[in-house]
Amino acid sequence: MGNEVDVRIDGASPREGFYGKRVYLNLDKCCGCRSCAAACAYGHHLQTLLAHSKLDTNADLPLHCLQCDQPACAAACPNDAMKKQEDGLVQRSYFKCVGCSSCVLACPFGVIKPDLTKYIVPKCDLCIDRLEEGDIPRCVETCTSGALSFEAIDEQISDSKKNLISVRMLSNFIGRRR
Amino acid sequence: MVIISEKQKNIKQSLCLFCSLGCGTSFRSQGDEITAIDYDRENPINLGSLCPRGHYNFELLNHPRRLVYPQIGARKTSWDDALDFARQQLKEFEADSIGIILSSNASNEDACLAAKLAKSLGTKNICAAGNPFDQEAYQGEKWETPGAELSTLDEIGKAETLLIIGDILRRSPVLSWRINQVKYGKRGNRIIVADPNKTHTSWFATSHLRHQPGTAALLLLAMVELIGRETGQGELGVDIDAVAVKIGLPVDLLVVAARDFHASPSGTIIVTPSPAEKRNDLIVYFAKLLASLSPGKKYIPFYGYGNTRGVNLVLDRCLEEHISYPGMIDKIAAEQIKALIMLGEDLAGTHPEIEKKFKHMRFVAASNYFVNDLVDDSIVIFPLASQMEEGGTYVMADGRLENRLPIAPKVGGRSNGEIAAGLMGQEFNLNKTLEETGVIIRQGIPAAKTGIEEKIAEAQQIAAGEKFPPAEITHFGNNRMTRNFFWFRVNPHTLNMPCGQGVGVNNKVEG
Repeated sequence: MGNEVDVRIDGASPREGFYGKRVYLNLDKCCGCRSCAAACAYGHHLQTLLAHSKLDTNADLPLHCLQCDQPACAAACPNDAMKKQEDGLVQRSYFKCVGCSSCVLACPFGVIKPDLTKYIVPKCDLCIDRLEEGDIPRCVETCTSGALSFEAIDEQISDSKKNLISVRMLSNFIGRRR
Repeated sequence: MVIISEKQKNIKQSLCLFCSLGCGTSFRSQGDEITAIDYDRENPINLGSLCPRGHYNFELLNHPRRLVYPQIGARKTSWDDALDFARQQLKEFEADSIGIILSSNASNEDACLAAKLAKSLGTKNICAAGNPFDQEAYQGEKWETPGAELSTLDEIGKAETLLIIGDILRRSPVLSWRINQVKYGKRGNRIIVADPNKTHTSWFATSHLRHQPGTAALLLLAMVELIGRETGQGELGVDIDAVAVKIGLPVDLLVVAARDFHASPSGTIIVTPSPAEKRNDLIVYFAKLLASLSPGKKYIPFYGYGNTRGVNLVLDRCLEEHISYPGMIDKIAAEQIKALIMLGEDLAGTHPEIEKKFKHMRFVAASNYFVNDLVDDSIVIFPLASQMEEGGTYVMADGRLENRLPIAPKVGGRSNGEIAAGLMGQEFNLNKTLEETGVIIRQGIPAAKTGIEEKIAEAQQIAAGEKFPPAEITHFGNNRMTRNFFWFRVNPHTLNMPCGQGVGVNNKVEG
């Protein structure tokens, strides 16, 4: 597998500037319009790579891929379609994927949503075409409330103002317990 | 896979008309062709963000189901033949039996030409169509209240108190970053949301007033009365206890909300006309009254159709007399309209019961983007050009005038203004019409005189309505047109919904 050539990055400039950056969500600001998923669909040839889950009547949770260090989806893939790239991105090959849904079951965060109409599994690619042009991913760009941000991992963790665990999610659990 | 080696610098900007916020859209283009959607971060209205409906604009440009040629009785013809045929057919009818319906997404120039068409036909049966509750709310905006000012969008973000009536984030999600500015901006900022349901908007509320469904007008009336008593500006003679029972909230809560609202130095009342509320005109009227009573407060209504304000304004100013939207529906139901011209609007989306009455219609001409239910039954069908293909001026929710030029070549459609001019046998001159509408728009919405006592008596007749469950935020189509878009069809939350969702009278969801 050493001689693999990824068609997407062949000939393009080396990907710099987004190494180690991820999409973060501040659920307290989210207004649940799902424009992130719509932008994802219109940017990826009408295939939605972004799943949503509904926490409550007034809380929707967009499920962004975390680009794990040791991705379970890549380990589970029988056809080596999922692969961790050097720049930290877990990428899915359009050609190798057979739509077996092993990664859907393997993902511990449930961010891969099975979409069997196209016989391939949708997987977030962080809008690599935009990143190479120096832009940010579509979901972050289109977010109506400013809930999504595209930041380096270190910045995000050191910034104590942002909630990694949302008040909204906690209030939901507390409300249910009562 | 095509590798885009360098960034496409050809960016074209236009306007979204799927709600009256009027976000700027931008597209990447190669030559004349629009190739991809982009996000214009420098636009002051939306800072580049778009809601799912904003993305529909891109799909609309090259949609495979778009109408591209005129038809007479499902037969393809040329534009000249179709217009000649329609013109000759219309001559056979009496003036009173001809009706014209103009979509509220049309530009001001289209409205001006439609008014001229009505004049030349000699009919008074012309009205702006769209969401019935939006048209109702516009009537409330016409009643004059001295001292009430319309808020700008920047003032919403800088306000210290927001009073939000209804689920505004379902209608205009792009407003959410301004609401976040208020919520997380300064300590002591307040967001009061009046909505019977727990919604995404109510999450942002510091106090959520869950009134009985349909009684938002009474809630505003109670606040007007309480502030009037507190400030000594005079009582209106409203029995607060009786009103509070109808609203379903304790009087103390209303007093606290009214005091909070009145005490803050700046504030905005955001009104969302909705099918769940009764008498949307009274809601807008009392919101204006509240804004005039309390210092530093302003009001802003958000309509579902982009140019509701502009189209209504131009029709009101151009014609001395014309019937209202409910009046038109009544006339069609009573079979008094024999020939109907539907410019850009499909009535079946908002009034499904009217579809049966079309059997009695002897001539129907329709212009639209897609073949929808009633368009399919029409005798003459004109393809319609979107706002990205025709250009024109539009009046948005905050009263600003947007002037946009066409960015894409026409796929075969023409604008409503051109069609109306063609039906008169004239040629459409955009520059000349722009001058005319510019004068009309500067005059503003015509004020109608009314008495407060009269309106209070009307408001007190409102009884609480049925429970109206919150609809899914993702499906918010504004008419049947949105069924044609990919995102509306594919999103699993929209699939189980009856059509006409988020629009009209049949907007009732299980759950």
